[in-house]
Amino acid sequence: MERLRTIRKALPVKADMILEGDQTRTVEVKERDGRYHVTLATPGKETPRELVVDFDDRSGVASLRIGRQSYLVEVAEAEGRYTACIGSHCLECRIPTPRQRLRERFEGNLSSRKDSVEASMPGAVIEVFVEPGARVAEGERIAIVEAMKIEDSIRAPRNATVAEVCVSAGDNVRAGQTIITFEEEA
Amino acid sequence: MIEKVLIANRGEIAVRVIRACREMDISAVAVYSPIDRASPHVRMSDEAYPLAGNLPAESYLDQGAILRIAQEAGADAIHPGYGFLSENPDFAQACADAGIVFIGPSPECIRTMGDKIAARAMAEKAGVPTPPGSDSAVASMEEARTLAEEIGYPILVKAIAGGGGKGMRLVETPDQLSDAMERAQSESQSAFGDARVFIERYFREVHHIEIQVFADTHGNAVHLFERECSIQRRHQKVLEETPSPTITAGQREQMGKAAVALAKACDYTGAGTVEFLFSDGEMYFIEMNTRLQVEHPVTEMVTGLDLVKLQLQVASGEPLPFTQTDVRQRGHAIECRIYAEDPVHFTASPGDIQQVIEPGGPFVRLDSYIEPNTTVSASYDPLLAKLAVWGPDRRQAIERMRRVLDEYVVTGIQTTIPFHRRLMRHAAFLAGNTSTRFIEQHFGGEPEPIPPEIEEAMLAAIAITQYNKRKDLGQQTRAENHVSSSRWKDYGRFERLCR
Repeated sequence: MERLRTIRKALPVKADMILEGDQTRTVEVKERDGRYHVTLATPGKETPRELVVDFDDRSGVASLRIGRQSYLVEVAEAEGRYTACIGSHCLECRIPTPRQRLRERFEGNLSSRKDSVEASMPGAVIEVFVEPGARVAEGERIAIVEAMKIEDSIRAPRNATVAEVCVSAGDNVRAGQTIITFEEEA
Repeated sequence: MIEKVLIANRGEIAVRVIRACREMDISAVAVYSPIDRASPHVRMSDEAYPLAGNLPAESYLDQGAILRIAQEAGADAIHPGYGFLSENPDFAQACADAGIVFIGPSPECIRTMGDKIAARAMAEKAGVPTPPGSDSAVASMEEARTLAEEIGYPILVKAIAGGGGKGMRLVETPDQLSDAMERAQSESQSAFGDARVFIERYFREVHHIEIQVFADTHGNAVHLFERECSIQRRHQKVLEETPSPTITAGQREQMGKAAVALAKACDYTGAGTVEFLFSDGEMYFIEMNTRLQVEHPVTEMVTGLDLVKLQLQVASGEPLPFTQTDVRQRGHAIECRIYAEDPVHFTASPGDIQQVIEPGGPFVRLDSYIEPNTTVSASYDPLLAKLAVWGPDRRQAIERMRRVLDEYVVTGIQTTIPFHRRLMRHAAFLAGNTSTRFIEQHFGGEPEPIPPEIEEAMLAAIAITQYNKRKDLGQQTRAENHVSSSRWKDYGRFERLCR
């Protein structure tokens, strides 16, 4: 057990970060002498970037020092989706758990096409316009989710046939929750 | 004289009204839904009473419960804030019937202005120009077609009972008309319980400029200049400023006079706002909001007047303590609305606030209700806070706002703060070239390119945050199950985690 703990401490923690447009970055974090050593790699691209980061978030906002430069980063997390903002710049990414990653790889092998539609924000389902078996065209409105008096139309990402409608009007949904799944195309 | 006021609202506006009450030595009664129990408006009040549920209908829209509480608490007046019951003529009437002062205009006045057709007619009577359009409900498709031809495309089909962009459809070509009519009618029926619609000319590039008016019960009415509110998303404002960078002194005076004429024509009392479209030097009346506006702080900053105190004085029957010639517009004020929304796509972002670091410095005003651990509910409006600054001129006000936005930190949920930081550096905004299509034109969903070192810092911050979270979680689970059933299992799990 003691040995295991030592291994645990010494081994870096790796994670995949999925950015907008399905770009992936592999990140490795090591803790050494009160600093974080962060290795950022873009799969299939150049040599990884090594950053030594002085990090403190006790004030509730992340203060970073990388080399001589200081940054104030507002980090938010909800259900494995992270957003970070520095000044007017914002970045969104998802860090799937190892299990989710495995499943995604497996499903990715089966079909590379998007086979479901998810809610883009948390809220209540106001209306669902389609039923199982219905043909939808790309861009067609499938459902409306509302939160804080803001209505968000959920649209079909491609031409497809609806397999399952996973929510009904009045349901509360999380961001990223599946609204509809599509049938496999021949 | 009013001695005790019930505030039938929540969030920053409830706090704003309570502040005015405190300064005037008026007792403030708060009401709250369960989720707002820990909200500042409850803490700051002298008395606070719970409402039944977290949905608007079970809380701040529950007329019966609010009136009952007002009577039990012995309040002599109700301040409705904005939204909720503020423009509900039946509620204003119910208050009057119960012998409680409704802080706002008469029920008749609210009713007239809430009906777009009646409001148009009133504006025409007062000599205020209205956009070309129908002056009664459009009953049939033939009528709609004839009218649309007369007015000229593009046109808007609008709900008579509408507001906030609901029940409104843009029609660019004649073939879209019948579909738009049907949709506007059904949307209006479900949203307002009234399917009547009318037709108005649509202006593509317009400024949204409004005039603050104030009237007392002694027949005095003044205007407190304009607010430029052109920068909008989903027909709702995100930034307001005064003076408008668009209009001339002559146009300002003309608009002000028109707004006062309208207030007098409908026997208005209290605070109100007359909204205009401004296009190519021409102004057109859109609507009158018969309540205090969200963006009233910018008017307060340039005039030095406290509009909520004035509301309370007027509601007590006092005359306005100044005349039109006494009011001056000094310097420049800007307000940024901080919404719980994604700063790029403006989708809702309810959730738990983690940290709030408020900005400071000279001529800075923050109207807010959020604190660390505040839960921002999906049931209510996304407005979290209003950040306003004053400067001797527009340029200095913008420079100040830029600095203040950089100091302001809200974490845990997404807010529109980063949007405003970007806006304050945008060339078109700096030049004062704003129109209601500004966001669409300049912020069309495409985020600005991120410099690589900034992106690295953001990725590093996320990675470290996630790493620390996992470390904490690991320590927790280890502490919970003192002895693991099998070390091999432990090792296997660990391997899987690290892969």
